[in-house]
Amino acid sequence: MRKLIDNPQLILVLRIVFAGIFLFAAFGKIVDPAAFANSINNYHIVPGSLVNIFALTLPWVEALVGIGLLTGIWGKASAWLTQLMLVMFTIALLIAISNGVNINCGCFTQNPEVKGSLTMDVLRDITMMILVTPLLISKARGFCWKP
Amino acid sequence: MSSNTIVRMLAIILLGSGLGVVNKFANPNAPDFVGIYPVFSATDTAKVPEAADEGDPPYISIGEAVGFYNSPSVLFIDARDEWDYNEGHIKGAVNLPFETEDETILLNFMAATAKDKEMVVYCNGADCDLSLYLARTLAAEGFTSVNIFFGGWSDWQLQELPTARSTETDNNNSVEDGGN
Repeated sequence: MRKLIDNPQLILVLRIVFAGIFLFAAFGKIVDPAAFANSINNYHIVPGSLVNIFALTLPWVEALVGIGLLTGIWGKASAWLTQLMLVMFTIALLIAISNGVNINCGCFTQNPEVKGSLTMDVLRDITMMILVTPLLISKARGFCWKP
Repeated sequence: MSSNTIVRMLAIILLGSGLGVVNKFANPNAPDFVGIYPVFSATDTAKVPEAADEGDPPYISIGEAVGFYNSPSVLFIDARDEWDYNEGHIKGAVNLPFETEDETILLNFMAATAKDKEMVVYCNGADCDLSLYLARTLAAEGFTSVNIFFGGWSDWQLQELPTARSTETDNNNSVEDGGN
């Protein structure tokens, strides 16, 4: 297992995959922060006065993390932030499910008409949390990765 | 996790926040820093008039109306007459009186507005069908993103959401201004 986690090729693939996911997710939110603000508000978790601040800043953190993973610059910090955001998103989804609200996750599209299964979104996030873990603990170096 | 990593994480968050602030001023779709988000029940549903028809533009709830309101690119249209509008209206809304013999305002508006402009039409609420008729007219003229907020002015006031009188500062209170 340790050998696998320290495999530089595996780490490179994971970095590219997560960088792609986070850059893609960030792009739509940066283009239309007002729509993302609505998605956040639909969760009824973030206080109204903080919704827009979240909507304005979070996508940029996602984008910077994507760039960090891709280039390897501050790669470890980017990987930890990725994990932190995934934990945050999963908690938000779980609260939404327990409150029984029927909403669009807001993860990749802000169109309220697109309502996937929140449970599937949670499973996706948990899978991503597992897959990002090697980036946190790997001793692999190379490919510009500076842990 | 080393302390170095933690410092870098905080730096990324700070830099991201800074870029978010820049985007606020550079992006016309960016909302204000503090939005208006009253707490509405998750089951908040749209009011629909008795005169509603299947082909009508979508009816939206007050929660959805507030959502639209927070988006600077969405235009609110008050379908009541000028007197009602002057007495008080949703802040930023333009006035397109539907029951009037003079159609110039409506025609000018339609000529000057993009067909895909996102808009929310409202009137008094419960016993007022002007928003419905105006929305139907706009949709028939090819406007593709018309929404009807049938809860209208009365529900908006009830929730103490932003309002304006025509004498107060209201940057976008006339069609001549081009709306918001």
